[in-house]
Amino acid sequence: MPPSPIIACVGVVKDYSMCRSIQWKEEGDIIYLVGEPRDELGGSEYYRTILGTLGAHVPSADFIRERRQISSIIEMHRLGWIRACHDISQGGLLTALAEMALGGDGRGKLGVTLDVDELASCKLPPEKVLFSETGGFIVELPASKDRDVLALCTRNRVRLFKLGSLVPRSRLEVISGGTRLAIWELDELRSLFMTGCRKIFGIEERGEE
Amino acid sequence: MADTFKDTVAIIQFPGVNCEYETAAAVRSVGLDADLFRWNENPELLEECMAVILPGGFSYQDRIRAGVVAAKDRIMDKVSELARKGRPVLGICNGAQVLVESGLIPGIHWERVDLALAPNVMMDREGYYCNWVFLRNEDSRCIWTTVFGTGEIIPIPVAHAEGRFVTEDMDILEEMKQNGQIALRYCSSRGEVDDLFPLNPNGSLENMAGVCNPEGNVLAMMPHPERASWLRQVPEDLPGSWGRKRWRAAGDVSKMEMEGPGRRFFAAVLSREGVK
Repeated sequence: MPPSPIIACVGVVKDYSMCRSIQWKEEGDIIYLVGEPRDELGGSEYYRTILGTLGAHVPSADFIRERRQISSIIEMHRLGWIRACHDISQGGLLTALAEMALGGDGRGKLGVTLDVDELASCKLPPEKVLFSETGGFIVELPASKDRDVLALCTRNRVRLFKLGSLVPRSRLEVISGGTRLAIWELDELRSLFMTGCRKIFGIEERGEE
Repeated sequence: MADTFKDTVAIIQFPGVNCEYETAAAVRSVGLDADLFRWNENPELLEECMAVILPGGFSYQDRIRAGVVAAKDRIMDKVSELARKGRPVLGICNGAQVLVESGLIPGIHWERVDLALAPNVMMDREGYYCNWVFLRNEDSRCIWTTVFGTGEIIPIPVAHAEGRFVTEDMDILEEMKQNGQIALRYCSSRGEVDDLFPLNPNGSLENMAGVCNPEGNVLAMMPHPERASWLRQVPEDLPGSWGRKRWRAAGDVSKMEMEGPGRRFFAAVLSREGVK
């Protein structure tokens, strides 16, 4: 791991009962992306692990855009709409979706099918949509808020993309033009997620004593 | 002294335990007094406490074997004496290890070590394991679980590296079963007992999570009821009725502050006749 500065940010929660985890909650809820992926994969996890390069276009810091996104998320939350929320960071949209599907303890069971064509207006190839590390948020809202959330985001001048709705099938699927680009069973992702550190640090598996 | 301790539960503080304050908070939440009782205080003072709890942690740094040093402590002679007289004694996690190492559990042969809490055996991992698990309340002699219905499912966290109940003597196991000493078993969220990890988080024999003595007043349990004593401590995505209850409480502090699935372990001594 290359040396890197770490900046920690701590906030005080006024009402802890309003805290929401990243894990998906209810079948039938809709998953949205707040924000817009850009061609900003410089230093990204995708370039580093898949292409073995650093790239050049690192995510830009656009404070106005950030403020609008964050205010929109806070507004949705104060209205009591948000059932789960996560930010786009290392690994981009697809990684964030996988993390939400699994939840912090890997117990998640709900799946989603992501149609990359929903993000066609970004004018990016699918791999850039999936792995761009431009900031943004993924939220889970009840289907009944579909119109309201679009109105809220339009008013706040932030982009909103409907990514798909939650289904009881435990898998994460990516489609484009009606064909499947990729599919993972959550069990498979769970195993990778829960044993990743052990593999990195080379800790041996131990059998029965 | 006599009256002052009547409604008091003593929580024994060995050097290195770390769950005593949470345990005291859980005891107080059912309306009892909790007294943090240092290991080097006069053991005779325990006489007036209505119950004794050995909390979780790492007494004496887990030197030699978890719980074995504390089990030899002078204060355990008094705990043993009280246990023999029928006083409720609860050992949680490291406290359970102390009860097993002191021979109070299984207690078929008084103070003989017939059980062990061995290192966890898990799938694809080793050592310390911390997660929410489910317990099934078994039909047993245990007084600490009388507040739960037989077969009731209790979600609760485990956090240990040595929690696998084992014995070399299968006659002891048989006797424990016949005596109704297996108070709690690890199970699925729907109550099915299966010895596969992670339903059984440590490979414990017979899925044993809690074992009482033949009289039922002493219970050694590996999971932590004090970490499940408020609804806010329950993960909102936990399968089953408690997780749903927690999810519905989101956004309402008064609901979040209501009791969690583990609190009733502490309420058990209240309902026990003759204790007060």
